[in-house]
Amino acid sequence: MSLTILAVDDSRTIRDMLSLTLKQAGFTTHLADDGVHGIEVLEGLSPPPDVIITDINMPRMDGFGFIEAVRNIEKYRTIPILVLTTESGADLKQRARYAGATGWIVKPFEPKKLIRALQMVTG
Amino acid sequence: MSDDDPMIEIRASFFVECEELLESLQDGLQTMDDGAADDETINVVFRAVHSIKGGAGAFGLDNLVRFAHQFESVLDGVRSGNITADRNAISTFFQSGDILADLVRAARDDTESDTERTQSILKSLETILGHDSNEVVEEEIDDFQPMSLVMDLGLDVGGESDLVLSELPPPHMPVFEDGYTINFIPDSSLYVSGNEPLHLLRLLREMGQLEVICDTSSIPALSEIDVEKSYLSWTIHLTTDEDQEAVREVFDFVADLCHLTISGPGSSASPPPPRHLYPPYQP
Repeated sequence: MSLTILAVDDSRTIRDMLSLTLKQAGFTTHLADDGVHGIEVLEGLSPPPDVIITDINMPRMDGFGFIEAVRNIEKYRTIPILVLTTESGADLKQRARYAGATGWIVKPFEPKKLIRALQMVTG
Repeated sequence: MSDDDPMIEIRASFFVECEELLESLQDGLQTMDDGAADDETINVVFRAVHSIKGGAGAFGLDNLVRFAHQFESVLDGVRSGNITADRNAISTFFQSGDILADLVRAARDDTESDTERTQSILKSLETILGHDSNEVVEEEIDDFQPMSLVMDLGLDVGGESDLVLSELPPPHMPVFEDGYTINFIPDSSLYVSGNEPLHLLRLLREMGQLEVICDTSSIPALSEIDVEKSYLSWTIHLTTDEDQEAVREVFDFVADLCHLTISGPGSSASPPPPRHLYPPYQP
């Protein structure tokens, strides 16, 4: 399984860790540091990434706004989107789901759980 | 971590980022103190603390995570309008920023921080939060266990061959003598969310021996098909050494988007999860 991932997070540390983990799993990773940047990077990728991973709390455009913006672009309507968050409560999941999220990963993420979540949305 | 461990570099980068975040925090608090804060100011302050907590958790910096979590909870209250950032509160926030900076530097330099002062400010934050937050912190921290990152994934991510699905609907429910029997009826919203039953079937296949029956009896005539609707359902028999929790975990992302029953070892008489815990996404 070789996947292309777009990871969106305003924390440089988390971006670095995602990049390292995904690279070690043999995946190609593209990075963005907020929702607005995420949309820009996404629209520059052809073919589109297999999965998008996004943080929630970000400047300019947060994760909820980013997911809604992605889902409003026809060609990305069903692309898997995983929410990366430090909160694991039902409220957060409900809001993420309502915005159009496919699933979630709780930070700090264990590499195995991250890869498992990717498998759950890509087979 | 060995010398060539890339995590060493990321850890160093984390502490540099912390200094930048602490500066943003300080600037934001000053703007609040000047009475010139808007919604974005409190968002910046919140995100600074939130990001420090996120990175600290990845490196197992327990004290930093614990304090940042409490600080973040109060700031979230301010952000949502449940807590008023009056003069006293802002004074506590400035002190909390100082404690956070001390904890960051103690973690970076592997030195001790001022535990007594930290506890005192934690108490002040707790008072602002308006309840005994220790219980909440303990409970929520359970969901946020710091861990070391082991990069040996040990996962078999291969497996290219597709499943062979029997497409004939069973005349009645088949009887299996061992293993789990899973009835899986996706709602249309499952597909809209970006989930896909085939991926879940592949994961189940990796757990043991799988027998899959796809019920196609609900598919209408071609002229009546709505491509946005879900017409297929599955009866799955899985023979595996895994426990029921592991089987259920495969459906974690779709539990609210389908009708799911799992019977077999470890089954209880409890009803299946609600079909629409969350409102389906509407594009």
